Amino acid sequence: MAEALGDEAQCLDLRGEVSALRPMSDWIRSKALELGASEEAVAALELCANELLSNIIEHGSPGRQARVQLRLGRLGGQLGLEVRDDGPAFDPLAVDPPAPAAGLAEARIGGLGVHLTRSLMARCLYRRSAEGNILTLIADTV
Amino acid sequence: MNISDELLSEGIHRIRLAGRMDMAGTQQIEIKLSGMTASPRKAVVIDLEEVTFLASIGIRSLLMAAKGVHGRGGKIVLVGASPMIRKVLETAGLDTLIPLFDDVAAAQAAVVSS
Repeated sequence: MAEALGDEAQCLDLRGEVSALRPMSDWIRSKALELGASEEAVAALELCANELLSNIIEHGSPGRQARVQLRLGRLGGQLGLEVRDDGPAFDPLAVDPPAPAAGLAEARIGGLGVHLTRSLMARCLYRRSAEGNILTLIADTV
Repeated sequence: MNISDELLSEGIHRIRLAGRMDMAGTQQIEIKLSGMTASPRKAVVIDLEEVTFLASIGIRSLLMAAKGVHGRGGKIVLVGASPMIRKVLETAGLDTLIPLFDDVAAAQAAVVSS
């Protein structure tokens, strides 16, 4: 299956807490650059991973910290970042994108993170396993 | 994150943001940003030149500030976004709600009442 990362993918285990965001960014940046991604591709992947982990921190596992595992590797000519969390089933891709606002007064706050992720990634895939949610972000490397 | 505020001529307030506007960074500045864009301020330029990362939580904070200024008949614009920050703002559709300038003089001219 073209969407599955191989055994050579790099792994990082995190807790769903605000202090995990910057170490995660540093890790993605260094690993994605090693894999040959352009600065623009790295910045997009870093942002989308940030949005996902922020959502997990805010909503993922009420009453406790979520356990999160990242796996990053090549998927053919693209980069794949798999984000697994052990929270209740939630498919962020099933959320409707925010309607464009006609003006500032009508602009609503929220739903932006998923919209950015869908827009900046080549593809996003969600599946639910026995252990939790698995969201795969697929980014072009250039 | 750091935030600072400067009163220029013609009642323009220039607010400079610096650092990573992620969850932790936005939490550090959002109360100050809200105060710096509160009544009676009506001409606000937010300078993003030193913002190195912008997530949706930061965009929400900019949007809240802009709603306040706009709601009382004021003008607010953004200036100095890096190419990546500009791309994020445009993807979020924020550039259609808060004008985005590259040039500080043009940004300041845009918030002075015509």
